[in-house]
Amino acid sequence: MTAFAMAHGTWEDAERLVGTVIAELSGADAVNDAMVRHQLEALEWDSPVFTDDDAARAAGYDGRIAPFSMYLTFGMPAYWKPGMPSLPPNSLAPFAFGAVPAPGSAMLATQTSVEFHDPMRPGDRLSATWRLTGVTRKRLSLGDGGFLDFEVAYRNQDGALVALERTSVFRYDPEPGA
Amino acid sequence: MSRTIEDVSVGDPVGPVSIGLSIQRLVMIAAANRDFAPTHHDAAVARATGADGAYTNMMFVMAMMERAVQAWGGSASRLRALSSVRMVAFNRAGDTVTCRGTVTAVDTETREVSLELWLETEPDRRTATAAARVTLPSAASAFRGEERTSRQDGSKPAIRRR
Repeated sequence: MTAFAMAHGTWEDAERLVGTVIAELSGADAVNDAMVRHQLEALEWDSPVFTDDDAARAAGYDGRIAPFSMYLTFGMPAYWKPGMPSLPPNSLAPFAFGAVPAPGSAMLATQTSVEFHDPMRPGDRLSATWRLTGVTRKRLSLGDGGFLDFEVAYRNQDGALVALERTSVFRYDPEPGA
Repeated sequence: MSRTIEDVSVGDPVGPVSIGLSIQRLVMIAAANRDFAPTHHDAAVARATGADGAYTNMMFVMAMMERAVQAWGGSASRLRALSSVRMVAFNRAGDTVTCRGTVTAVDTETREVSLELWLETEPDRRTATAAARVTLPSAASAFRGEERTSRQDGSKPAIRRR
């Protein structure tokens, strides 16, 4: 599935989906040294547990791991792959926040909590199960809309839980002039 | 080397860990975390949404916090959770972003430390806030042995639930 397009519907449509899985997404790339290195380079992050097996073993791991905070990167589907239409300009990252049918043309992440479980090791492949856990209508200064609460479980190819994320986004129609 | 649970007291500072943001850096960050939403590298698009320049995303916030925790706790510290991560202002090109924190609780039994963490671009301008749970080794315990989640015997790793 593609996760770019924002699904439109009523708040009742959204509420009917509470408690259900709204998307299952697979990461486009296996955990790999090159992408980990790019992240360490971009943030000037010096830690041998991400690059050196011996240092990682001394720290209690089986071997080098990826930063725990990279679960979103390695759980992200491709922006394009064969068979998909060309990427529209200004596309957002291909997550599933927009997959819930609801009113509103804009979305803003308001809060995230994540528990980290098994570390990511080179070769691991992540998949993510997206569950809608709540819908709360609300008018904010940004506009009229509602909070959508998600619980997203990121697992590796063995089914082991890597990260459990709870995120709320505000879905709304921007207030003219806000 | 790693900090041990015995080394830590409530009120201890975490950080600072800093990174200077430029458009070049924002492009490196976007390429590394693969969030190509234009607000994170295109100043004109970001301004059209009400920001005063291209700005970083949630993945950057979490990575800076993990980096700061690791710099503070050492290699054998382990980040268990980031809670209530909120982006409250923009980290923009031109800003230098610093992650700081403070120890809010220490449990020597579980070797778990609670932290308050935040990013700031100036001392009085916080851009993100969160709480963290981190485990540290004990000076005395066989931490390394019991923390191994071995796959070396070919078995599937257990799903750890907390």
